[in-house]
Amino acid sequence: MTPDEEGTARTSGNRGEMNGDARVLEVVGISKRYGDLVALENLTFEVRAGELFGFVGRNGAGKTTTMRIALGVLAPDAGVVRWLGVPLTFEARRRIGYMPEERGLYPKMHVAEQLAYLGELHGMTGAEAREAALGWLDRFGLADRRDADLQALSLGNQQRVQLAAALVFGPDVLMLDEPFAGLDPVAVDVMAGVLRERAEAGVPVIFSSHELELVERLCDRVGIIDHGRMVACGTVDELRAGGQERRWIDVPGAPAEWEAGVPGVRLVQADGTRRLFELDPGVDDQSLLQAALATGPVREFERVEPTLGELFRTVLEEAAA
Amino acid sequence: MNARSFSLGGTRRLPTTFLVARREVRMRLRSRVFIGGTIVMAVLVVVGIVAASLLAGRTTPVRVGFSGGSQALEPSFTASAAALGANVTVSDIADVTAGKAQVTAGTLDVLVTGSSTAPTAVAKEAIPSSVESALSLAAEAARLSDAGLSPAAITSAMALVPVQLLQPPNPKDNENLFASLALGILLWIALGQYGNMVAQGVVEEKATRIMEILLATIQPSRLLAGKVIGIGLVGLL
Repeated sequence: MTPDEEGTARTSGNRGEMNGDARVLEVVGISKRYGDLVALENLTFEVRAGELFGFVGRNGAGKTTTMRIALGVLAPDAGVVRWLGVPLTFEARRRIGYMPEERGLYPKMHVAEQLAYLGELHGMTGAEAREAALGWLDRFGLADRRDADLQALSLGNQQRVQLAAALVFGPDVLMLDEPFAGLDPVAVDVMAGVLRERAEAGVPVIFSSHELELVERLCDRVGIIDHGRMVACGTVDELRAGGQERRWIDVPGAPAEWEAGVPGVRLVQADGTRRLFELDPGVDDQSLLQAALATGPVREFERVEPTLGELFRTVLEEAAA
Repeated sequence: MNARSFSLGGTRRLPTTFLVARREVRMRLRSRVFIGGTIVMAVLVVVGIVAASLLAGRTTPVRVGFSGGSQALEPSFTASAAALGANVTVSDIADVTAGKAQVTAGTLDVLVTGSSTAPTAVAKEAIPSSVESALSLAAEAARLSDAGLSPAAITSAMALVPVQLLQPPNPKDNENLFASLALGILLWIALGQYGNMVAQGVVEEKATRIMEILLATIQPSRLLAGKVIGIGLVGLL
């Protein structure tokens, strides 16, 4: 969790300046249309310093469009993106590290030289850029490939170089579109470690991913986007708070439908003698436990937290309804 | 090989246009296609110059064969040809039919038949005008000699009019014209090639999809300017 627990407990509507650290990337009410297609509609969220923000949604939900607008590569039809409280300037955009979904670097340029070039374009001196490039290659285990053409590297290694390209100039904000796609588990761990480390260094990190388990494990806050609208935004716990409570309970000696007398409880699933119940809001799970104990010994009583994947499906179903 | 250029990292922040141009120059100077193309071009230029000078310096003599009575014209024909500046070799042909066959085959350029006072010139397609004039002069001299004039009188009667040139042409003019034409063609090819290079280079960022990263850090106009300058500098080489 973020060191700023108070900050993470807020909802997305709050202003960043109220937070201790004023380094907040705010996306406020952006809309974008392509002809008749509404790509984004009044999308608002913010990412604070030191925060890992996971951006999830189905294909075509608007994640990439949002990132492109936040980066200034694309202009929104309405809304504004603010950094440090003011609309994003070209100079501020130069300080954003970006990893596009469509990976792209010069295939015939040497790896280290390419990273150093990007570093210099972002305003580093030649010596600084070279040092940073070699440092990141070392970090990603590519030090021995520094003088290889990018196209000579495996796809996974090319992706590491792509991430290094976003990191090489020490960005103020990191924006990564599907950074984990196509990586092996070891590379995923390395990349997750780097993102965590950058966030802890005070950099707001935004990334999109379809790997919900990873997002749940890694992110301080999550935004779920659907059809260009932010349908849920907050910590995973906050997203859970709106959902139904579930309990696994195992009472081997109990008669059938022993729970019938407990109000607000619904059987969801049975697995041998184990039962999964869903509790209506406000129902005390202890009343279920007492009813179970009254029928015999209870071998198992477990609170089930919905995974981000389950929350994601629930939220999308609600949004569709 | 880039270890050296790569280590040239300085301590100054450089303008983005310069950085882009520098990358273009470095990448192109390193590319095998560019190095190969430039070497081929250089070889073509050298070969062209050598061939041009060889061709310009060479004039093949006109081979003239005399048969029968016309053989008496040989000394005066040679002298007249020399006076007219024609490069000729003279030979005796015993048989007119064989001589015509040689002309047809191309081993002889002109066959002179008939008597010394009424010769006939046989050629395949055309007879060089200087050779025709020399032959006419030789035949005329023979007719005058036949009419009883002394050799001294003939020489004075047939003396060529001296010509004084105020601006004599440079014998190298033709050579220069050829060389400049060849150079022009090579330059045209080279310019076309580098124009094409600029066109391809400009779409490179789009094709390799690096554009999305670059656009966030450099204005498109500066990127374009850097590319055109870089490729242009390489094109000048």
